[in-house]
Amino acid sequence: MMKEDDPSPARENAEVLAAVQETLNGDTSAFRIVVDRYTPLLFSLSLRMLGGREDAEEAVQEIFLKVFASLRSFKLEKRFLPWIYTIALNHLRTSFKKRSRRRRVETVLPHEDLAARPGDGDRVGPEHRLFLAQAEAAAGRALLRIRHEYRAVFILRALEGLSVSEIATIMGIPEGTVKTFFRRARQNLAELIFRETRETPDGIGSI
Amino acid sequence: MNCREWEKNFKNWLQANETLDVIRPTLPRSLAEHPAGCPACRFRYQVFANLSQPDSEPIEAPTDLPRRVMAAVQRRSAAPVYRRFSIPAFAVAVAAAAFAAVLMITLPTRRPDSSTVTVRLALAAPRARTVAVAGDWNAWNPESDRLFDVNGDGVWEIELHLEKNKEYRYQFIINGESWIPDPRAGLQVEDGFGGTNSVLDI
Repeated sequence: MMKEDDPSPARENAEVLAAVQETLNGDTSAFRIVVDRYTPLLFSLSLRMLGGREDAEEAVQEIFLKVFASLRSFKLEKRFLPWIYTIALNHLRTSFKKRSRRRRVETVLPHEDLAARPGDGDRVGPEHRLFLAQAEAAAGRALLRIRHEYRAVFILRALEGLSVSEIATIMGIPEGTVKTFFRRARQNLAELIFRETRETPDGIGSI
Repeated sequence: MNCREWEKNFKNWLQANETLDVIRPTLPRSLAEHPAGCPACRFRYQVFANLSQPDSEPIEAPTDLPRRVMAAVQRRSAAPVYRRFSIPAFAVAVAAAAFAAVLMITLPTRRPDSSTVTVRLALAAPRARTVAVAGDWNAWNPESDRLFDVNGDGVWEIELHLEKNKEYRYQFIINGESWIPDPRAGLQVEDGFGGTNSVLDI
């Protein structure tokens, strides 16, 4: 099950494949169709996987460069979406490791980008908005602390709404493993949330 | 019910409701009462709830990001910088990977009546724990093609069956984190990220 606003696989594939073919024929500008279509998805995924807006923008650019460089290896009879997701997740795994090494001194990973999204403030009071923003930021930080594979499965399933079989295809693992990773991700997240909020007097914002 | 009891009950409930079909099952009344009067547990549940539902408001990418991406793609497409293998580049790569000796052998052999070519890649890296190769043929997946040191002599090897009449770019990955070009490849090309890809033309 894809998100409702996503195009049908057949239509997505027809448009994207035509653009891929044109790009391979030498018209690099046709690649813009691919970039326009998948930038929102890759940015959302990268932001959740890496936790920072600047890192996510850099990652999206690098992922597209890899996609562009690898276009010839794409099998035209396949769907493009799982293929691009696979490249993205592999890139994000490496990016996250580099980023973690670079910022090892930080004890709290910044995740204000996710918390700063507009919307709730229009409907609720400032106090409740702050509460929701803190919770969302803590959720983002907790996500960054679980194993890469668990995080990827959890984000693709719970937040991006992909099906188990789609995730299995993208990650190259059996469906049973997807389910196991999802379950463990949820358990680990729950464990983290309780453990990290236990020590402070109000229990808030310590994740 | 105090906080510890609620935590225990919440985790038990979570375990009993682990299903992929219902990502965010409704909290039963018995578990909803405590967080209603306890700000800390209400916060904990809210954190978990944020992790358990698709976003009602999707994250928006910067509007100029596609344009910047295309500019980078056009730069790469318009000006690929090819260069021959050079000793300093190799020395830097090896130093970064902290390996004593690296030796590469590439032996393409054509199989008759076949559209593929068997390519054997070998890398002497006696201190490596793992060696893999990522390239155009495997969507740059650093885990799909691993080399093996079968006889323990420090030389890691892999045989690949690649479509012929194609050009492939690739790098070796040592211990899952150090990306290095093939030091003996006939052609090296900048990868656009400050590194170097090796080119295999078969």
